[in-house]
Amino acid sequence: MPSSTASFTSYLDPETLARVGSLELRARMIVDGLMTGMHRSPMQGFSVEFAQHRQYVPGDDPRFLDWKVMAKTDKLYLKQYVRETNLDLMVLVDVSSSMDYTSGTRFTGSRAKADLMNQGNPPSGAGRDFKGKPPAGWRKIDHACALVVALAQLSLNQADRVGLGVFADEVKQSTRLSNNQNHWRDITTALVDAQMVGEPSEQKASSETIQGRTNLGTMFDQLLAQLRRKALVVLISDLFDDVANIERGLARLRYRGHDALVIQVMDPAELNFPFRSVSEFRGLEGEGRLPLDPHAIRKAYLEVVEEHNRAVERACQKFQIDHILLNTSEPLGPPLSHFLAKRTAMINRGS
Amino acid sequence: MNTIAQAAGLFTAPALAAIGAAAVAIPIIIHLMSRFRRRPEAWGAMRFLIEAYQKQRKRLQLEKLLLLLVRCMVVLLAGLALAGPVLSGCSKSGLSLTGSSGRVVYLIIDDALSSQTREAGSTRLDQHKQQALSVIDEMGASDRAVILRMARPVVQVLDEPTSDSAKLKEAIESIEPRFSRGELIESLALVQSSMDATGTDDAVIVLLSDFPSTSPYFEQQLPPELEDLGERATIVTAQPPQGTDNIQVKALSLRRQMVVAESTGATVVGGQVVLRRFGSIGQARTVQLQVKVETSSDQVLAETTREVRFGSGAREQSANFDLPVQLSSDALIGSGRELIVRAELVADASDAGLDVLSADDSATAVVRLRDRLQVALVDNEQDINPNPGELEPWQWVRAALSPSGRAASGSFELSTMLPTAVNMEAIESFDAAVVLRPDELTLRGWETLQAFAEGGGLVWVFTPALDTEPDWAQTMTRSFELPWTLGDALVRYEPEVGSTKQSISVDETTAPPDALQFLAADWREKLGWWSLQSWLPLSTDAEDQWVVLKTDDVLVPEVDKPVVLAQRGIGDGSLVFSAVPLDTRFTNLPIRALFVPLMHDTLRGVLGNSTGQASLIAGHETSLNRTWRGVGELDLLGSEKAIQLLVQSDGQDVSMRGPADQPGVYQGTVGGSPRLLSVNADSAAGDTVGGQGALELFLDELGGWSYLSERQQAGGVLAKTSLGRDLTMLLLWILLGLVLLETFLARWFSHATDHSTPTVIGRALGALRGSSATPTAGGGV
Repeated sequence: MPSSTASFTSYLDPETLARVGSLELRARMIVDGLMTGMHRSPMQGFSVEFAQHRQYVPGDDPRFLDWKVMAKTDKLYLKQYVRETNLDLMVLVDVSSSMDYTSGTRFTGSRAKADLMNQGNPPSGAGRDFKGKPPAGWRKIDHACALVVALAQLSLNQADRVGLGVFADEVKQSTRLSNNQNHWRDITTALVDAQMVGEPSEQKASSETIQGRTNLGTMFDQLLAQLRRKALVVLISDLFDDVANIERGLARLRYRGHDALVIQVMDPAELNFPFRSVSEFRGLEGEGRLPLDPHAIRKAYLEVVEEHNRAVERACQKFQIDHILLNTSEPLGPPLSHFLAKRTAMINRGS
Repeated sequence: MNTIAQAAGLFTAPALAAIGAAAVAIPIIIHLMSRFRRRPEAWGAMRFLIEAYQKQRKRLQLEKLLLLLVRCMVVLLAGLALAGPVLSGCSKSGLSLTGSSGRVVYLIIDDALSSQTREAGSTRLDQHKQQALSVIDEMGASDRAVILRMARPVVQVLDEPTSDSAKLKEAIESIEPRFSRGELIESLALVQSSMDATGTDDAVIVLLSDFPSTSPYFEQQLPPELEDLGERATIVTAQPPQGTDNIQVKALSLRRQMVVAESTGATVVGGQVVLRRFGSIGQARTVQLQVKVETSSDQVLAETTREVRFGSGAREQSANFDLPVQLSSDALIGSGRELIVRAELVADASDAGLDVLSADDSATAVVRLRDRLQVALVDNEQDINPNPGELEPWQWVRAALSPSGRAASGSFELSTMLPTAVNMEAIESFDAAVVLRPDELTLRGWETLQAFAEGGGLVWVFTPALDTEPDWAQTMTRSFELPWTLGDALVRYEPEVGSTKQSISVDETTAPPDALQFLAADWREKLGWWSLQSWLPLSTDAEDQWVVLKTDDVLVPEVDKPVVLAQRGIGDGSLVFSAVPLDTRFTNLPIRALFVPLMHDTLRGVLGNSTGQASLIAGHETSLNRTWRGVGELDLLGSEKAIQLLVQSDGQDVSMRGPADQPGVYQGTVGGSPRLLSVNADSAAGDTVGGQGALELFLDELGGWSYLSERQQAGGVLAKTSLGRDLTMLLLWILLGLVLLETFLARWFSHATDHSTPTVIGRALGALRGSSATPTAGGGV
């Protein structure tokens, strides 16, 4: 069913999500879109407490058939149980000022679009209406928040305990770990309280959203103290920090025995630097102003960015942490799939 | 201002050059304004941008400056190329590799007599000077100039070529008109030698003259070394003016410059004034001519004014004058017994526009007065005539010149000098030497006589009445370097059998020579009675002949035309030779009426025309004869300014430091007595009609040339004076190169262009740069 798959996965497209007003709706769209295309059975948790019966559909694991009901009624039903918490998930979101950046309102011309098409990463799905640029006003933090709420929804659906940490140069907001279904709202509230997430129609000035610079070392010190048992830590950030700091934070995380997934969110303009005219670049994190000709420095910039990202990649590999570089113009499917695979692997390891 | 003017001379359109220079500010202003026109761009990944910028900072700044410099050069060169740049430091054959110091401009300014022609309130010399000043203003900073005054003698005003325009202008302003003729060929030869000496191969010769149509240089043969001057240098010339009318005193010639007269007696000063007119000669004109005889103290002793009428078509007219002068002791005190004859035009021809040049309207001459002439009779006074009662030659001479027998009476004072005693010291005080016994003269005696004649004396040699072979004739011919042929022996007239004619006659149709003009009235009549029986055959040039035999009676066939009496100038003096002895056995001359006036007028006439040197032409010779020895200096009479001629004596040679420039009468002191010297303007230079046709023919022989007016219309006299100096194309090529360089640099530095749509040039440059410089296509991160 390629057509239905395409229609489902379109829910994961940032362009679609950007048109949706609330985080809750975004989360449902993401989770539904993700789950509809997947086999349902693996989603069931291991538990001893019976919850309900569900009609068998082709593809379900026959091990979970209720043989007694089949013998009595000659119909195929599956037994479903109340799931038990088997994973702690801590999502750490970077809300530093650099996460407020979007190139979605800049490059609207045909040439800019072509540049992004040619120079950006290739689209990940066949037949996708990929524009090569984020939707208008679609900031990195928007992309990160959509990912957070989706992760939270997925985890809560599976009775995992979910916690949230919002940080910039220090921890701004945090929630406790909980598998209560209502905890999802706490997470949403925390994100909103961090004053980084507003209605998509709102055009916040950069000065209003400056939260300081990314400082992973401080953040890890503060948040990891809350984790009593081994957890899966998902770090969502643009990682605009010194690689040494990042490495130090990841080291602490690994020393405490946690598993981690690093999702690096970057705008396509930050990856490709497609500017043409002489401009005065103003740092969102208070770095000052730099007037220059973008063409003259593009090559050097790309080399610096590439070098930084490689260093991040090396640091993650060093501690056996998965690293995903996420372009805000790309759909959310790949990182979520990667997350689910990671979760499954952890559960199978018995951690 | 001077530097700006010189710099302006580097361009045919200096204003465009200034605009081009000012336009350099445009790229700089754009560069500065771009700082204020930058679009603000909020940016998240600032740390990466700063890091990249810090890595590239120096390179970026260098690239910016280099690009800005190239763009400024493009604008500047565009302006300069449009301004028609002219490079001074290169030769016609191209750019000089030896660091040439620019063009050398030779300004030849005609300050000759005709330059004083007054037209429209100023003289032609003023116009030449103005044109010269404008050329100086056009000179570039590295150009140098040389100023030559064209009037004779040609003078280089400044010793070395100089670029100091103030000095050059001062030199031009100081040029005063002279009264000599222009010497164009000599001026060009001087330029040529200067170019050779300095190795100049990029010269501009500016000729500023009115080029009188009758200038002698138009008739002269052009020296071979000047034939390619027009190729080596750029010749620019002023346009010769149209005809204007001028009447001048061409010449004032006295019949005798020396007059023998008593101090208190009366004498006659006679001569001829030749008038000439230039310009339109179609109409008859009458002018007033005044001739005055005056002393050096301006006392007029005699004067006359008469009308001289030029007939229609007549260019020259002469007027004779004979002014009786009553001498008095008072008038001659302090005059050195010299009088000034002054001829000048007093008619109002200048008011009628018939005479635009007044500097040649007068002429002067000097007449020397002598109480008597000192004559040496070179003779041993021995009797050689065997016939008793016949007079000896010396007796005939004494009877003719001093009949009273007193030494200090009459016009001649005779002294006898033995032929063997002839030496310079003895003969120096005489005016003339009458040699009656040349056969007794030694070789030294002949050489002394030759030197005496060279110095202005008159030597009159008579053939001795001897039958001996005339060996002395060869010695005389060699000593005086005479181109004459003399016979080996006296010939005798042998009448035919039965003929009643016992002697041969002279040709009475011969015109009297100039020295004997006073005898012209009855010359033929008196000459007809002269006959000869014996004579020494003589053949001379036609101009040396005074009296010749009748050719139909000549019995000596080998002699074409036997000459009886001949005269030849020797230096400042003369030699008169009589082929027939003063002896009645040989000729009837001593007893004929011709003899006494012939003796008198030969001595007076020849000495009157040769004794002393009393007149010079401005700008001509600098040597004086020996009568001026010891004069020291000569002062111009009647001049407000003290003008002197400095004279130096070196042995027998007497010369002035330089030719006299200012016409007038100069006075000096020789041997304690005053002496006058007249200097007249060179009338040959008084033609006020420009010779355009002759000039163009003359310049065509030199090679390339052009008129000043054409140059000025084309942007300046010095503009584009040679092919190698026009840098427009060179600058345009450089400009094209810079534009390509700018394109290359802009692409190389990625400052200006879109790499996504490379042009042909871009692809070529991309190939040069290789793939490393192309933008990252896949994002690279």
